[in-house]
Amino acid sequence: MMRKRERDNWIFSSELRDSIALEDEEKKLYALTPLGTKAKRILFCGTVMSKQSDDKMTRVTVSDSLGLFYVSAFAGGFNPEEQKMLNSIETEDKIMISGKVNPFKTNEGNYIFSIRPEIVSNIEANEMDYWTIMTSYSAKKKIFAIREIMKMEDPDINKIVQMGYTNYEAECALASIRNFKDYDFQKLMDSIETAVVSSKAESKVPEIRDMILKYIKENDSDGKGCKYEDIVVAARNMNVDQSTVDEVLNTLGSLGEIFEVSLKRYRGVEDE
Amino acid sequence: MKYKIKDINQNYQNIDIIAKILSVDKRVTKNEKGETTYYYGILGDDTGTIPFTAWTLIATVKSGDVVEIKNGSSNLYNGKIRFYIDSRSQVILKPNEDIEVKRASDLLKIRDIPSNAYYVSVVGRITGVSQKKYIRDGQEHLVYQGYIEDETAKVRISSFGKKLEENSTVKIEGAKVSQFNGYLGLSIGETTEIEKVKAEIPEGKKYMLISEIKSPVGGITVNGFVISVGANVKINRKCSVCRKILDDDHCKDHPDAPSVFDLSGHFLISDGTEDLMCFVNSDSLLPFINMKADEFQKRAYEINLHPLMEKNLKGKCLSVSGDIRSGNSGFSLRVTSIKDIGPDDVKGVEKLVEEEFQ
Repeated sequence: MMRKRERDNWIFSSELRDSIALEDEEKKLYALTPLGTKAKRILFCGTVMSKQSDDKMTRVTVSDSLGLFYVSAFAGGFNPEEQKMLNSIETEDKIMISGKVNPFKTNEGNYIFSIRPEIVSNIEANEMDYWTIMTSYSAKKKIFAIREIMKMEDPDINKIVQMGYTNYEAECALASIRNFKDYDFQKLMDSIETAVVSSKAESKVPEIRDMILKYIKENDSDGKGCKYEDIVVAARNMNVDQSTVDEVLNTLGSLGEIFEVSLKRYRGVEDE
Repeated sequence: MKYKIKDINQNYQNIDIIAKILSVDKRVTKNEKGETTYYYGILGDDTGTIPFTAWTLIATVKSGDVVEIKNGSSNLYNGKIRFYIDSRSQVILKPNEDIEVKRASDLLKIRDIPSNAYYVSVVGRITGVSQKKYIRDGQEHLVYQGYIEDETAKVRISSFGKKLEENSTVKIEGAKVSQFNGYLGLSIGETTEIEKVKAEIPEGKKYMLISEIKSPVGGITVNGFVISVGANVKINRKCSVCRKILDDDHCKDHPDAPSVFDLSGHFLISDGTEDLMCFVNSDSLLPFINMKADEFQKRAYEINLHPLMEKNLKGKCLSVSGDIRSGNSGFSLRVTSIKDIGPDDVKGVEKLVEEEFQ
C-alpha cells in the first residue's frame, strides 16, 4: 500500500521547543507539540544565526523571532544532498527549511528536537512575512479549537468540525487536551501576536528608512543638521517608534547616507 | 410515509410526496436487451427541490404539473440525493392544483457554492461569452456560454435562451449547479431569473487557503512553498486548434491543423493549512522557467524537464493561479499562471486571514 506523504507542519520554534516525545505505531519517537501537532515533518522560515561544519556533519541554528530551530545534516546520511544543502547557506541568510524532526534525549532526561533537512532554500523578506502570517493563522485556529474542546464535558471531534474547523485542527485539539492539560496557551498566543507584529515592522524598514532620510534632507533648517528630537517626533507621526528610529539612523550612517554633524544632529549626504 | 423534500435523505423507501415537476426530459438507452426509456428532471415543493429519475411516468406529464407520488425511494447519485420512481410507485396527476416552490438557496459567494447544491443565487460579472446553436424538439435554439466571477472565484455558466452580455454585472436567482469533467458550472434555464445590477466586482487575484477549498471553482490563486515536484513529466502532441491530445499526428476534428508539443507535469504546494497537487502544461510552466515556446517546440524530446522543474520550483514560495478540479483523489489545481510571491500577495493573504478571524 502506498504511504501518504507526511504533511509539512508549519510551526514556530517556541511550539516545537515545548513539545513532548511520543512513540508512534511503529515505536518511532515523534514530537507532539502543545497545540496537538504530530510534528514528524515541519516547515519553517528564519534567519541563520550560527553554522558549524566539518567533513561529517553541518549544524545550523535558525531564528524565527520566537526562538531557535536546531538543524543537523550528515555526510553519510540517507540523503547525499543533505549536508551539501546546508553547507550552501551562510549566517544571516533568510531561509526556508522543510525536514524531519528527530527527538534527542539529554542526560537530564529532557528532549531536544533537531531537524534533518529535506529542502533548504534562500528566501526574501516577504516570503518570511508570508510564512509568519500563515504559521500564526494555523496556530491561532488550533488554539481556538482547543478552547472549544476544553468546554466540552465529552470531547467530540465531530462537534468541533461542525463549528467550522478542519478535521486536522479538531484532531490536534483533542491530542492537545489529552497531553497538555496545564499548558499556558494564552502565553503562546501572546508570543505569536508578537511575532506577527515584529515581522510587519521588519518588512516596513526600507520604507521607513526612505521616509526618515527624506525628512533629514528636507529639515536642516538652520544648516546645523536635523535635530534627533525632531526626527523622533516626525517618526512618531508616521507611527514609527523611537527604537526603530535609532536602528534606521544607525543603518543610514553605515550606508553613508547621513552623517552626524554634531551630537544628535544629522545631515544627509547629497548625491553627486 | 409522507415527506417534504427537505426531509428526504439517502436510502429512504416508501416515500409519499406532493410536488411540482419543474423540468422533465426523456432519454432512451440502448443495450443488448433492447431499448430502455426513462425520464429525469427536477421536483420541487415549498421546502426545496430534488432531482428525480422515473423508470415509468404518465406520458402526458409536463413541467409545471403538480403530482402526488406514492412509494418513491431515494439514493445518492453523483454526490446528490436523488428521488426514484419505479414500477412499484404510483404517480397521480393533480390537474387543478398548484404549489409554491422554494427554488433558490441564499445568495452565495462563488467560492462557497457547494458542488452538491441544486440551485443557488449569485451576483457576478459575465465574461468570455460565446454562443452556439442547438436543435431541440426539431427547433433551433441558442445557448450562451461564458464565465461568471465575483471577488472570490469564477465558474462556467451556460444559459439556454436567455442572453448573456459580456462584462455585464448580473444577479442570478435559481441557477442550477452542475459538475462537468471535474469542474463546477451554473446553468440558466427557463425558470431562472437574471437581472442586471449595479455592483462593484473588484479586479485582481482571488486568494484562497487550501483548507478552505470546498468545491471545484475556477480563477483562484493559492500561495505557498513547493514541497515536491513529480518525477513524471510527459510530452504530448496536441491539436493546435482544440488542444486535444492526439494519438497520431492528426486531429479528427481539425485534420488540417498542425500538431504542437505540450507537457504535463505536477508539483505539490503547501500553504500551512494543507497541501494541493498542481498540474502544469507548457502555457503555465514555460514562462516561469524562462523558456521560449519556440525553443520548447524545437527541442521538446531533448529537454530533461524534471530537473528544470526541480530547480525552478522546489522550495520556492509561489503564487499559483488556476482552476480547481475535483477527481477521485480529491481536489487539484490546473495551473494557468505561476509567479514568485510578491508583497501584494502577502497583503492579500493577510487580508484573507484577518477576515477569517472577524
